[in-house]
Amino acid sequence: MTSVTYEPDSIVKRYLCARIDPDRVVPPTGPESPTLDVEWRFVDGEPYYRIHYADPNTGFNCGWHRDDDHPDLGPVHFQYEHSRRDESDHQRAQFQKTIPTEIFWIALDRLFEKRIPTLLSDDGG
Amino acid sequence: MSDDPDRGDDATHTSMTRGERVRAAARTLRTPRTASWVADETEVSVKTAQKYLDQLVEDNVLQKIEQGDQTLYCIDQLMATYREVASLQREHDREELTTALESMRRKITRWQETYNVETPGELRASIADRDDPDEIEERREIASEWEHLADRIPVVRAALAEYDWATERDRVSV
Repeated sequence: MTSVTYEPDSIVKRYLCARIDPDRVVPPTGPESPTLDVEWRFVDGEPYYRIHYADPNTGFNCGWHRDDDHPDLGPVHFQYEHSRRDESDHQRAQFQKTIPTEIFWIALDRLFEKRIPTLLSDDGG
Repeated sequence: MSDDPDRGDDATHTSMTRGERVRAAARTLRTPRTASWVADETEVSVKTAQKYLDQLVEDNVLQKIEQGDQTLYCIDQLMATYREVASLQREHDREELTTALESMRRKITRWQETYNVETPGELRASIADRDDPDEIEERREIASEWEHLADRIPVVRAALAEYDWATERDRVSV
């Protein structure tokens, strides 16, 4: 990660935005830095979160969301969109852990080790 | 896809020490939890978890709560808020904080007028009566931003209320 900033600014602090070094992403991307947004909130004690990756070079974006958007898929879903291939999908997802930091690291592992290489492989996964 | 990439929590966290992992996790403990619960979540021994949690109690990051024969830990919310107030005072001038506060309040007033509701909860409840997916998405997104601003405004207001007093105490003589 090359930088991490609060968005929209460091007073309002709605979510964190990390910029990713494009050379560290497999398969390679660039020249723009992909971004990773992380938002975590609690409404009446219930966690709502969004861990979302977006690559401005390819239009690919994906992430894990815990919200009321897709109740049919359970509390958490994974969604991705590949505008150039006209592909998109929402899938059921799950984390065994409860602590935000643990969920975040697991999501990062899944994102860079599995999701990006699979979804962006030549055959489209 | 033939396999499910979301199956299993098999992250390795190789770049972090056990202490860092427990300390990072501890700063998110909104609900009081035992050391053994934290140990289980962070995959360390109960003794290791206990050691770092107790350190964080010493540092006024966590609060220790005795409940029956259980010891529970959770974020010291008052101290966390004071730290946040101090960061706002140290990192921003009075004008920046005032402008941001006004802008947040203006947004809320506009949403109250646009949707004819008083609270983000009422806006969320209004989603049930809507059919248009775009409108549902928009209302949900605004309710979420509104909830965040409602939490944030009192912190920024507190930073402004004692701004001069804090700035005076933040002076370092060299």
